[in-house]
Amino acid sequence: MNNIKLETRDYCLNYGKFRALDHITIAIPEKQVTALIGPSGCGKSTFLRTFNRMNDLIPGVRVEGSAKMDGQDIFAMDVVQLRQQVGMVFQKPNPFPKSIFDNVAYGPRVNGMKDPRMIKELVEKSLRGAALWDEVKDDLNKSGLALSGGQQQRLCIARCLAVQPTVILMDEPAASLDPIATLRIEELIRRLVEDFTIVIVTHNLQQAGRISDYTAFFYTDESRSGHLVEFDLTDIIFTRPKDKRTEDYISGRFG
Amino acid sequence: MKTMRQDRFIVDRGIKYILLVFALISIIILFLIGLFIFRQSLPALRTIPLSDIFLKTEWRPTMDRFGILAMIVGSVMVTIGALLLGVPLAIGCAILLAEVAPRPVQEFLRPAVQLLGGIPSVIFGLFGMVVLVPLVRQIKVAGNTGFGLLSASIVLAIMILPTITTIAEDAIRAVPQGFRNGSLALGATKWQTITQVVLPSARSGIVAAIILGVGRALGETMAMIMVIGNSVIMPKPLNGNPFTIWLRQARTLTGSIATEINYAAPTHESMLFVIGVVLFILIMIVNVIARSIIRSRKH
Amino acid sequence: MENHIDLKTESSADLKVFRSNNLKLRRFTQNFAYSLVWLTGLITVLSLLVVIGYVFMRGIRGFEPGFLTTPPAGGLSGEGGISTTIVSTVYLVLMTITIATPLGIGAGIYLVEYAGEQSLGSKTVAALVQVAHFGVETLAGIPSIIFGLFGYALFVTTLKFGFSLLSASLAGACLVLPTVIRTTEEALLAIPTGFREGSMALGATKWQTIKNVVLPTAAPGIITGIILSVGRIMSETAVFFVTLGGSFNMPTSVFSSGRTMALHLYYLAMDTRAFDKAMATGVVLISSIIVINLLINIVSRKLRVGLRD
Repeated sequence: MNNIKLETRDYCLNYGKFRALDHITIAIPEKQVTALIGPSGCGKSTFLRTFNRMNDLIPGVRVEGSAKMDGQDIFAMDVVQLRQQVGMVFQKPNPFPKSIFDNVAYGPRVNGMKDPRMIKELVEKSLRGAALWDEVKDDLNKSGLALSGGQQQRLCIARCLAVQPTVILMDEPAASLDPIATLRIEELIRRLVEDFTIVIVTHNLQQAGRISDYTAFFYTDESRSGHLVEFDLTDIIFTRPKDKRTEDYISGRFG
Repeated sequence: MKTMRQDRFIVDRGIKYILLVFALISIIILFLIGLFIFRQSLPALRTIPLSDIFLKTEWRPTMDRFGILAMIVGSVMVTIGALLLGVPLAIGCAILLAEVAPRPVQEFLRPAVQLLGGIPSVIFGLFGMVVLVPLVRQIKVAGNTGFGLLSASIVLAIMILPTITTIAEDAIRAVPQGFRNGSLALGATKWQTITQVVLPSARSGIVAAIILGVGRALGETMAMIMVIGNSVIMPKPLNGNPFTIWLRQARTLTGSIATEINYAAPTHESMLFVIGVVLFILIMIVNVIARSIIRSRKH
Repeated sequence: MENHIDLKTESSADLKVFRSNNLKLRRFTQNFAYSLVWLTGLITVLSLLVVIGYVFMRGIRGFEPGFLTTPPAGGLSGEGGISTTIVSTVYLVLMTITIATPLGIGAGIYLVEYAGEQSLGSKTVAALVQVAHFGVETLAGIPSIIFGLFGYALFVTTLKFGFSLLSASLAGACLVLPTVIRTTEEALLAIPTGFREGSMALGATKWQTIKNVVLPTAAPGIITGIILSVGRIMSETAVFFVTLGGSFNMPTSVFSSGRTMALHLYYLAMDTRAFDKAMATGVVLISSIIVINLLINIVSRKLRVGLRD
């Protein structure tokens, strides 16, 4: 049985008067891939962004309930420290307009690493870890924007790895990529999970089935607030779901 | 029915050509400006050697001395002074408006900057004369009248600040939000994100903003006349301290044109057009540089 | 491919220590930087308040009854009011706008409707449009004094209009033309192509579409440009300084010389010691500019609402 890495209890998130997430209680295990699935607009991405407090950037956001990592209240931590430990890969790859090397080195540098040798070592290891090293090792000075979509996304993953987080959040990381690039990302995720806790939002049910160990199904009703309907091992969600809504979604009756 | 249809289309055609002429009016005017200013400058250019114009500092039209070097230095120095004071303020305001200030503050600050930019230059000149100059005169250095490069630089800095701030703010806002998100998600602070990702990305727009400020500074006339003093002498420090050069009175290229055009004898007047040509070319260069920077950013 | 990723460098432990030290420094740097940035905002606002405040405070002193209705007495005393300058200013604005508006709006219409993205042009047309845009942008950057010099050379001297409202308004029209053209272009570009296509699909000609559909929708934006130009004309000095002459008498024809309020302020400041009167003139000037700014805000808000429907 795995330890619990991330958990929330009766967690609610409000934009002004609108309740986007309603009483989410979940315990996400360590070093597993947990997929968040559900129809559009049910708050999966918003919930994902809880764990690195990216929602703090939105004006007028209020949260209730608790959210913890390793038993510590994430809202009591310094947000910068939290984000060192919880990395994020975005739906649309967003490499900086800098060289490949500087992109990956950015995280360590802003977090205080100064030794050029250490940085160089870390950059190489991160690029290897993101399965990008062989393709770019000959020209690390090339602009990050000059890479293909799939490569850019792997660059973003390398960038994330370089900060040495313990959790990696992924918001539909393959949504803008072609099938081959998608497959490479999925392979990468299965490798990364040996060292990191991964939470991934995905619209692609087959993808969730392929790569995740646990799955959480979110749903929204007329109130338009997001609820957590069911959370279990992926096998169970996909073959013997307990909730009828889950079953309907899995079998494609809606969403 | 047939005649009605034809009429409509004839009108359509005719209008198209009339409007084409209108559209070309700007370039025609530009051409005319160049033409006339250059034409009026020819008499002086033909009779006075270029080296006497550009390399000499003595400007005594009644004695046929037409050296404009001191004015060029005056214009350049006051522009540099304005940039030294104005650019940090302007960029700071741009960062404040685009990245740091909450919405309610923005709604107050942005119109304030716009209003500052809308105030007529003579008002700044007047304020400079009446308030700033006596203040600067307090600096106890022999020969300091209060009028001079320092007062002029301060006035000019306030005048170019809105221009630079507005354009720099636009450039900063144009940086994609994805960059900021990526940086913050890696554990950078907001300030680190601004200095290491946002500002470098906005660099060309910010540079363009500053260059447009330079153009504005070089072209300012009346406010400068009012505070810079009126001596066409090469600026030099007042005593051993090199910083006192800023307490010197000076004259800008623009100021010479305005103050002397009304009573100049023919050669003298033609020389003022020569100054006009110099200004025209300087400003054109500045604007072409700014435009090419903006255009290269788009690609 | 390696199965297990080893990201730990030799000094991984150091990294953790590094981090917590670095955090305090970073927070401190951010707070320090933020305070500097706020300071620049404060200085800017203060500059605005001090300048306007001082001018108003001192200007009220110079505001005797009848200031707006008495003409300046001339001479070195600076006595009198500013009535003639107000009239000159109004005439100048009217004349300049009359010249610049049709030309500017027409140019803007051509550049957007007949030669822009809304239509397919030939190669020569495309080249002409490039040239035209270059002209507008360059003209926009030329300083006021150069327009004045140009006006002096062409209108005052060569065409022998002399120092007059006519010369000044012609030179001034050249000055504000880029503003009118640009705002017209922006206003037209903001209109969705759907409007135009709908009209053309009903059989209207291009010009009919422009006249009946596009222009009315673009009107608020265009009007904003005109109001901006009015503000510009009232504030400008250098261009009118060398084309208008300095007479403080009531203008009687387009060939009359005159003074705008801004110029009057300059003359008062430089030729007399009547700073209070100069400040008072400044009060009238600034008040007009503030009113104009408000007008622009109101009109552009109307513009946004109009397009939202």
